[in-house]
Amino acid sequence: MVKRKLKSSDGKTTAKRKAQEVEIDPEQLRHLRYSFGGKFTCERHLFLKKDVSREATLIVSNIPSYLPEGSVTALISQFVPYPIAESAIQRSSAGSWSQGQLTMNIAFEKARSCPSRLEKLPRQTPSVLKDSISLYERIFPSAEQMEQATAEYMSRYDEIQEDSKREARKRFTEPDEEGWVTVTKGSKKVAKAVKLKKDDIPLLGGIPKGNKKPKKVDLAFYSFQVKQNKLKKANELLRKFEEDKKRVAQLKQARNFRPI
Amino acid sequence: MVLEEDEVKNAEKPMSDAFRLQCDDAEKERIVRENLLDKWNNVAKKVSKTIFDAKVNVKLGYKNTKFWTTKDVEYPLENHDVAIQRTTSSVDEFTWISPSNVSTVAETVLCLEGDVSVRVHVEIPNQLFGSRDYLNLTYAAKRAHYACCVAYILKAVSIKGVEEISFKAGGAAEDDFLFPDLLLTGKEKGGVQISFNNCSIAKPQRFLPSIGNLRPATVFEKLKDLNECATPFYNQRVLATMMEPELRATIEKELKGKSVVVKALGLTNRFLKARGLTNVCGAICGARVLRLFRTGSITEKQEILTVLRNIFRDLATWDISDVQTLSENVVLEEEVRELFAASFPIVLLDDSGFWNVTYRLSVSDISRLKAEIVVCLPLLGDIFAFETVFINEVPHFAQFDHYARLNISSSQLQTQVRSIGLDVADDDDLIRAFMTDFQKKACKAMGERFEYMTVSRVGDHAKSWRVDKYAPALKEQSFVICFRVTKQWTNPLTVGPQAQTEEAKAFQSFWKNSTELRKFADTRICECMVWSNEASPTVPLKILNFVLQKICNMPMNSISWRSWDMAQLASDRSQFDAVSKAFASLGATLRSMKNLPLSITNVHGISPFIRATETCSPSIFAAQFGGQVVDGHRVPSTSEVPRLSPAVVVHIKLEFSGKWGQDIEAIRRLTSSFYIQIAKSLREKQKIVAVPTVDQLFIIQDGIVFKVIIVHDKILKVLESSVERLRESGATRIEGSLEGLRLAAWKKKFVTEPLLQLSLQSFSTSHLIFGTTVQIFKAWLGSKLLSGALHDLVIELIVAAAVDQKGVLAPESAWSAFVRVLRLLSSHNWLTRPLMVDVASSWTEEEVCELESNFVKMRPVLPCMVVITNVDPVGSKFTKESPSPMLLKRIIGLAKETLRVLERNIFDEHPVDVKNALLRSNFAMYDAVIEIDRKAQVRTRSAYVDKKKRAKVLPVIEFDPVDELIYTLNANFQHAALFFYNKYDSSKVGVMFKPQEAEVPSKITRCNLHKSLNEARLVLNKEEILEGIAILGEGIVSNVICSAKLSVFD
Repeated sequence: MVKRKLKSSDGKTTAKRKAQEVEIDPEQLRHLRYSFGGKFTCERHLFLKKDVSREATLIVSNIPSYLPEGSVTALISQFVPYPIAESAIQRSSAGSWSQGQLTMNIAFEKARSCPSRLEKLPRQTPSVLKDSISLYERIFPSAEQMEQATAEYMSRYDEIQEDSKREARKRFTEPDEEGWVTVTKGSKKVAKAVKLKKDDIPLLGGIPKGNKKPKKVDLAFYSFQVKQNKLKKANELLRKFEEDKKRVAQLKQARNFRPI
Repeated sequence: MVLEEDEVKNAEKPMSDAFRLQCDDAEKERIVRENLLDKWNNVAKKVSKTIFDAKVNVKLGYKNTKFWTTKDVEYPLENHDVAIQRTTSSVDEFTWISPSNVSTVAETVLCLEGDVSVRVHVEIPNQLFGSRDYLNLTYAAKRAHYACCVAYILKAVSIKGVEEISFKAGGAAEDDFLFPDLLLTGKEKGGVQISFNNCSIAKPQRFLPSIGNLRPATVFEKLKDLNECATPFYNQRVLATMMEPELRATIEKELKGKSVVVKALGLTNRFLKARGLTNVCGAICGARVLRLFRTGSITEKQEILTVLRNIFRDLATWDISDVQTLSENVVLEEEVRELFAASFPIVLLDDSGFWNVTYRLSVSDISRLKAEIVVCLPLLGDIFAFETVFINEVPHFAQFDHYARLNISSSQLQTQVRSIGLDVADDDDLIRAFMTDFQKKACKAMGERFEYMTVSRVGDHAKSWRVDKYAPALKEQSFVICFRVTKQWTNPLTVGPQAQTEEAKAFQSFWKNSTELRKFADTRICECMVWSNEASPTVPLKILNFVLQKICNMPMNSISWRSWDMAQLASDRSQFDAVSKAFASLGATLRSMKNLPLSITNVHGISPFIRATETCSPSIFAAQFGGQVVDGHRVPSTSEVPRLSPAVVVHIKLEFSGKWGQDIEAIRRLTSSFYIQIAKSLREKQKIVAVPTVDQLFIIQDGIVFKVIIVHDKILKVLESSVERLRESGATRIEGSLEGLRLAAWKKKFVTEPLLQLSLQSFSTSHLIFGTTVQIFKAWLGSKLLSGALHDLVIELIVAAAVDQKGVLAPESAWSAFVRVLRLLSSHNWLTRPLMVDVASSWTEEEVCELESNFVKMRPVLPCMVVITNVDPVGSKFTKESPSPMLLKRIIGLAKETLRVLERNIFDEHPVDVKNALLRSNFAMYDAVIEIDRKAQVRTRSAYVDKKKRAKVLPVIEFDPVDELIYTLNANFQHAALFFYNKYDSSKVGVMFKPQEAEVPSKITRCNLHKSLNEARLVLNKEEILEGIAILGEGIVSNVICSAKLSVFD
């Protein structure tokens, strides 16, 4: 188990307490105070926690995405006498790593809470205006560039198409690694020919005439069938009525129920 | 003709069990509970007995109006004291004599919810009247004394269940203060109304319209010189006190027990009340139904739907030129018929043949009734329209297109007494007579400009007052004049008859010789009143002012216009006309292009600019300055962002080809070559600026930028087959897979949205007010800092639903259309009902049932706002992401608030600053405000366009840094803060921190944008967020101010 010794960083810090090293719970959330330099002087906290799933690794959270790359590792390495083995962004609160607050994993053991200033950082941060202008510029490549890109892509695409065709042909003729050859049904399905009479007009989607008419069968042959049919009809009506009743009740309920 | 009728009948909805159930339900709500009716019946019996048995020792001269003060009852005709003093009677003394008859009628047929349940009719004994007491106000004065005495008697005894005894203005419309009734009410609904009359004071013939029963000198001393004048209106008022109770009793007697007819009558009354047609509601409607019942047009054996339809048809085809009677048995002499026709615009005589039930109605009332009936008639039987037709009440200020308010005091009218005061009993009546006269003149002056016009009294004039209080004095009254307009509304000319004719002379004299001669294209030369050089919304006000000042001799300040011209919030119509013109030229050019490998078959305009539903801010025309020119197009830079140039999206389709391949990227690349080819051809042959990009082609046609996109059905097929392959491989949850998401996104962008936009396009051509209303709605949402809260198409769909609401007359002005939108937003039950928008009117009732039941099943997983359309049967496609329940609640709240302001603008004494109320943004409530740099506000810049100069370079298209900023801020800080902005005026952005994030437990999963407070808690690091905004918004944000008014940079 890794034990971390951090100075308390709450507002009541005194000189006496600074000197004193307190043993703390490794599971607890710790934070590192820092601020940007220049006109951006607001106090920010990076939150640190032990990564229980990985050996000797710290989770660093609440990293603004607009903080230049490498600054977190640089900041932390200032206070920790151990070299950083690996660092990687794990997730972002906004879904994209270029936006929101990021969470990072840093592989080392100890950190110290200490206010710090990242003097040079603001000048390197991205801004919406710059980003969107560069994005706008990228929408308009020159016609030559576009044509060239198209030609390149299409030749590559044609090659791939050709390869896959060749590959497919190969499968039908040559045995694969395991010695199998793909075979398919030789003959294709042929639609059944329908002979049309002189008067018939072949309509799109229509059924050609001459089909046998379905024979009318008296469904209610026996008296119990007559009774059953009547009952069925009555039940159907009843069901419809119940449905209507439900619908009307629902409409009325909807009218009277107004929580907003 | 027969065929047409058949067709109409086929279009009618058949009777269904559901509709019958709805009618039964409504009837249950209407009828007074049996035990309540019993209670009021008992009260009525006790009242009758008390009045009969009472022994009161009072003796007074009937002209003594102060007598009842000593008995703690105030004489209700105190305001008529002077006129009463001028009356004479052979029986001067008033003493208490028990009534000759007291009858009780428990009303179950005519009553509406909350109405009086039981009526007691007291017949005043003959001994109290002299032989000529029908003359002047003698009858009214003695009747009032009798009412006071009954009030005094009833006050002395305590009747269980009666809490208050008050006077109530008499007549069917409860506005006749000369003949008040007594009203007994309690804690529960309903009450007992006691009316007084004496039918023997004169024969009904005495009250024929040609006879005068009110001498002008009785009311106005200055009219001493005038002899007897016909007083048709006053005669009907007197007759009403005798005949109305009788009519009500007849309706009750003949229709009671005819449950289907009663139900239909109840529903019709409810319909009339919901539409504000209260002057037709009640006795008049009952009389019409009774008439139909007597003629056999409606019977007890018919279905409720048939009865309702017959009643509605009867009202819709009411021939007001005809003198009608309640019963065929009443035989009228031709002379009497003519007398009534000459005195009243609408005549429906009761069984006596002398009382006109509709004596208070005007032609406009009937026109309005007919218009409302016509839109509802086809909906009878539709269970989903039941609420709209019978239940939902439409407030007065949402029913009309334009409103004006008129203040009149009786003192102003004293000079006109000689012309309008011959048939009036008091000051209130004088104002009534003036308004009738004014309406007639206004109809004559501008009748072609409106379908109908109604006048309603505003203010808190109580219709009932406690017996120990004086009746309200109505010396000053305010009226709201409401118009339902026609297309002629803004016409700058009032065209009169041809010159040199007798009619022309009459026209000239009506317009006080201010007319001009005008020659028309068909060589007619007519007398005309010229109000303006071009069509203008100010013309009607000018005409009304003219009528009021020059024709009716009233001061100018008595009228004020109240429906503020909202259309000024929308962009100039000429810009949209330019778009349509340019689009038509572009379409022709594209279709006729010949040197392309595949020809262009379809050209669809998929843009709100084509249907005029987006504000052209600052201008629809391409900017000619700003930005650096690079390779034929301008690009923005951090130092200079040019003003916004919008682009009109056009989708085109190419003829079919099988050579596109199966790879989406390949199709995309090949399409870009098409763009290059089209652009080249346009540049060379048409000399048009055309700039191709990988995914679209920009073209400037007539100064307007079009974004042309080639839509391939092939891509849809490729995407579908990849999803199909995935499905066949046995994968589940395909909607969440990359293939599923791509297919859904493509379908939404290139199938659903264009289809919806095309149907909205055709809707906008059939509803001219649609585009303007959408623009107003967008401006309003923006000013409430809610731009982006609703998808643009949802905004249009809501407006379409409000403009084309079934069973409600379509609005004709931007004011009424916008009020309907706000009402729809605030009154629709979003939680329990979807908003069904059938722009193409293609749904059958079964389909609606199916959609509704699907909604009920899926409600738990659907968003808070569900808008079902022909292309989106689930209704969540455009509302899934926004609005959130919280935002919807806010929109509803704001809509209600704005409605209140608009209502106040019409009814308050002084008009409200509507523009300010609609467009004011309030930043006081936000936790922080982001101030935007002037250079980034690209929508509020100058829109100067040199029309002579032809654009040679493509401007910066649809580049709004504030939009980008809001998108980025939302992406970065969404879980801790909300951002509110106005797209059309982006000078400031409001920031609101989420209260639930203010303090959270100390956990790594909750730590984002927080700082440590102590070991266990984290607090929201607001400074970090605000500083983040400043960092990300460099070049756009000029300052961030938190609510403590401290700049972050201070």
